[in-house]
Amino acid sequence: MTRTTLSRRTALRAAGAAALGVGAAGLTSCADPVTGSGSGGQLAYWNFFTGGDGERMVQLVDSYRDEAPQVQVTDTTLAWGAPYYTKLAMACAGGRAPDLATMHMSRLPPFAAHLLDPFDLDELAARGITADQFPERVWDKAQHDGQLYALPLDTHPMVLYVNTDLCDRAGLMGTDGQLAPITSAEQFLDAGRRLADVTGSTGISWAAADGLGGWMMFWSVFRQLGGRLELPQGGTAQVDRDAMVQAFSFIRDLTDGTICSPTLDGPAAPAVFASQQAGLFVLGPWELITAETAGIPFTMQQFPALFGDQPLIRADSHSFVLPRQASLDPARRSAAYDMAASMLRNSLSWAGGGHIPALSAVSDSPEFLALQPQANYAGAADVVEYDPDAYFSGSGSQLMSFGGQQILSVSTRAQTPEQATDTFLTWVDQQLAIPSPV
Amino acid sequence: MSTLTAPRAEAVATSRSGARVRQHSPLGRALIVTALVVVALLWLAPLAWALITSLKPEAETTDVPLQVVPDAGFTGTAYGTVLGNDNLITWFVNSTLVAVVVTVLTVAVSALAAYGFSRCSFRGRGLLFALTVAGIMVPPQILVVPLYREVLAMGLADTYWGIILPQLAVPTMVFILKSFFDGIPRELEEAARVDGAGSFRVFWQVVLPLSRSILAAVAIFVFIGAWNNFLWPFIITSNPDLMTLPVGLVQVQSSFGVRYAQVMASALLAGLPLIIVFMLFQRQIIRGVATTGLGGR
Amino acid sequence: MATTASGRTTVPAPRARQPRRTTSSLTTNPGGFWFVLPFVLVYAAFTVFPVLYGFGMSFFNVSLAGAPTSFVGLDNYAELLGDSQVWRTLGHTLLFTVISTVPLVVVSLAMALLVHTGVKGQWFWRFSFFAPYLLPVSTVVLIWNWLMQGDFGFINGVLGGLGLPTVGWLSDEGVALTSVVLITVWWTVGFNFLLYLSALQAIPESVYEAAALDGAGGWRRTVSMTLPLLKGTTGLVVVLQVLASLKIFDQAYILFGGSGGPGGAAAPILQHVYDTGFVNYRLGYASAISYVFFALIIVVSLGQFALSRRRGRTAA
Repeated sequence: MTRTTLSRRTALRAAGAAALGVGAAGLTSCADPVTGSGSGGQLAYWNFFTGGDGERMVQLVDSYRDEAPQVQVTDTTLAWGAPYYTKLAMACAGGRAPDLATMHMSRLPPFAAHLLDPFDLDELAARGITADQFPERVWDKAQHDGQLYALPLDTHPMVLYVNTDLCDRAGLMGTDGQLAPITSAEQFLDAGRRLADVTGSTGISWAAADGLGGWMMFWSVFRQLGGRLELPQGGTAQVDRDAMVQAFSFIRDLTDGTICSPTLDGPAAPAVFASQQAGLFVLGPWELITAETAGIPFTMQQFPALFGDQPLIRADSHSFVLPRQASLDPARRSAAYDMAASMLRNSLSWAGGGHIPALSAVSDSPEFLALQPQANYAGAADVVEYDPDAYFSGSGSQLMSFGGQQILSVSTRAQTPEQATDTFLTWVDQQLAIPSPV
Repeated sequence: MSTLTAPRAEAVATSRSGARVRQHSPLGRALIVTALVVVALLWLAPLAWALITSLKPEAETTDVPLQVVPDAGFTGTAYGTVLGNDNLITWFVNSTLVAVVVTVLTVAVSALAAYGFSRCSFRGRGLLFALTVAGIMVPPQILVVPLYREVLAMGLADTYWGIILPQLAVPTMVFILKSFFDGIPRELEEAARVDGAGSFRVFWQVVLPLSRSILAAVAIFVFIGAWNNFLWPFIITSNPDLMTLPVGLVQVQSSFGVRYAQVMASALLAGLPLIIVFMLFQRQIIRGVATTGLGGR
Repeated sequence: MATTASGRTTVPAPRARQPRRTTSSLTTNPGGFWFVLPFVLVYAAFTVFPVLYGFGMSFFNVSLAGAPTSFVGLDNYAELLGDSQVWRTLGHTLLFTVISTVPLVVVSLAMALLVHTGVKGQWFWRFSFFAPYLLPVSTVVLIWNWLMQGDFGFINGVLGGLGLPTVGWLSDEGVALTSVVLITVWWTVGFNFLLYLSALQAIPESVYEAAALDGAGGWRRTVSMTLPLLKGTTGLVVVLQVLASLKIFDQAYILFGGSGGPGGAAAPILQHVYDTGFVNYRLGYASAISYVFFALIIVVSLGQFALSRRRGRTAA
């Protein structure tokens, strides 16, 4: 158990050193006239990272400050969630937009329509950043109307946290320090039951009562079942109803109170795993630090295929966007490109928070591949499933919160899977029928 | 002059103790005291627990079962961290600035208007006053959407004036002050007028001095409202340097994650200023709130 | 007094004298419009205009996400009739109003009666009951969010210690709105308490003395004399409280981080307005919803006016 922690710490230190190296290399590669804004420029940058991610983001910002000391970077950190996107939309619509901002790519559609400028691929190429350096699915999601509107920083898929000690006692471990392969829903549920025997409480920690946590599982399973959900504005949802009922049924099976508690909320789920009251834990990779701090024996791996043969996994990506300016200052815009490129190149340190760097130069680097347990699930970037496109969809959106409410109601047996499907689809159709704000 | 101050509100602050409790039987008296102590404990317990939490080392805040005294002893670390982060100070300064300016301007604007409505005649006075009274019914919350667009168009989003200006129109206060002015005997003003004082001088030198208590009441009421206002500053500010305490604290909640000692320390520090003011001016504040709350009676 | 204040200038004032005959003193002060002007300006700009502007917006599709505005006639209102979220959150608001008003009136009255007995430590009692009212809403909610935590919260800790079952204050769909009520009672009961205390202390001492001579005991005197005398105040407190409770937003929004609570069970209608306008970018539709809410407030307010009128007449 101490081994995991120790090796991680060493790896992080190595990562820090490597990040400096990559950064320096990038600096030389982009020393071209476009970026050489010698005069002291200004740059306003917005993000929503707090806690550990916040500290790492400050590192990224600071490394750009070191690279471009003539640029005065003002970074504003607002609380994550709906208020952030509200404030960003207000700022953009009100002509007070920052020069560069962070966004979840799942929230891109309503912003890309009127509030953002697309990236100029030539400008990016001049800074050494090209399409072939990103996973295809991630790059595709960053497009809107055939143009690139978001520069992906990372991918954060749903992952499986494994308490190696508890799973060992439940006979679930394979020989390679990883979980023995799980290839079906029944196997996953059975693992939960066996773990519950070991812990004496529940087997798997999953936040059924949290919008984001609940939605991740639901969307992954729904997609693995071959479910499709298309949301054409002004029409009705195109959906595989059976797959959705099946996905809700799986949620119900999962939350029987033994395998999984039906009522864990956002903060409670990681706390249950951290206090070893569950052997497996499902959420995004950012709770890596929580598990490390707790000092428990754990690893993390890619979430398996429970249905079908492709392990499709709900994910989202943090990205940089260029808010549309009331009057565009070329020097500031150029600095925004510089800063975004710089942060991408330095994203190895960002991976310390569990995120998979989007830039292949970083995610394929030996330094990242040596990072444990991040490297275990790095392959997830190729099977990521983003939320469906709609103005009310994405991380922290109304779709997620309403979907999350249905997931909770199935968990607590307030609705049957059929009822939840109907409630959900009725609501979705209502949203599609009403005039779009985009 | 004492006849002009609201007698009921005056009484709250200067109640004589002991007179009535003696009319109860010993058993009744014991019950009353017990009930008071129980309710007071219930009301103070949340604050006490917040204080205890804020003085614990972070690692011991979530200990189960609950423990009053942490194993590692009490510590002021959380306060150090929170105060070392200059955001809290910034928000405190912003809140104070906004609340003071809102209070001064609202009282000035309302008192002038109330006097105008009470004593002056001009074309459209009746209609304007009716419109003002009707405004009492308008909940400020329904105005946020249009107000946001308006303030944005005025170029005042993310500015102090953008926070302050929409809070200045408080028809209730005009109504309360007008009712009070209506009750002031006109002879006093007329005497001044005979001496050649103009309207404004009469207002300033005769009416206002007679209205100190009601003006203080209105000011206190407005100040508390502005100090605690959440929705409007929440909507109109996105720059953390311009946020007020209630808005900024909500940011703290999500940014501190599970650092409960720090969250409690910030929450208590944010609540402290008005509590101290209350301890110093309990009598005036109670009178002010009771008077204004009762619609000027 | 006023004479001394205005000095010894002895200028005859025929100007002021003359119009006095028409109306007793209304017209003694010329230039009244200048007094009213500053208020009229802010009131027109920040109340009257937004009321009209918002009403106008409710007939348009107005986007926060920068899309062009388009006229939609009554579509927003038609949509609202079929929007289950409107009726659900309106239901939460009404339910909250009912279950918060009762304790806010009863508890405050009990507090006032207890304190009014004159037990020593008046300063302390008033401080304990009224101080929470002075705390910013964020302070109040942060503290209670911590007290109401499921696993390590103070309230569940105490309940568990007493051998009682713990409660999912923040996670149970059936409890979430009650949690908001508890917080609201703790936070704002002090205000009603002061109104009651003020009313109680306005009852002349002689009334009690007469009753004491009749040999009425403390409890009987409260029921038979004090409560009837407080009828008017209770009416006022109830109406003020209903109007305040209908406007519930801040506590519920902050307590659940804007999520509306488990299953959305604690989302009031003002949160639906906020979510529609500022989270889903649909400002026009949000305006339409807020006008439904406005209509409700007007009905209640008119009720208040009617009530105070009637009270005024009976008192006269």
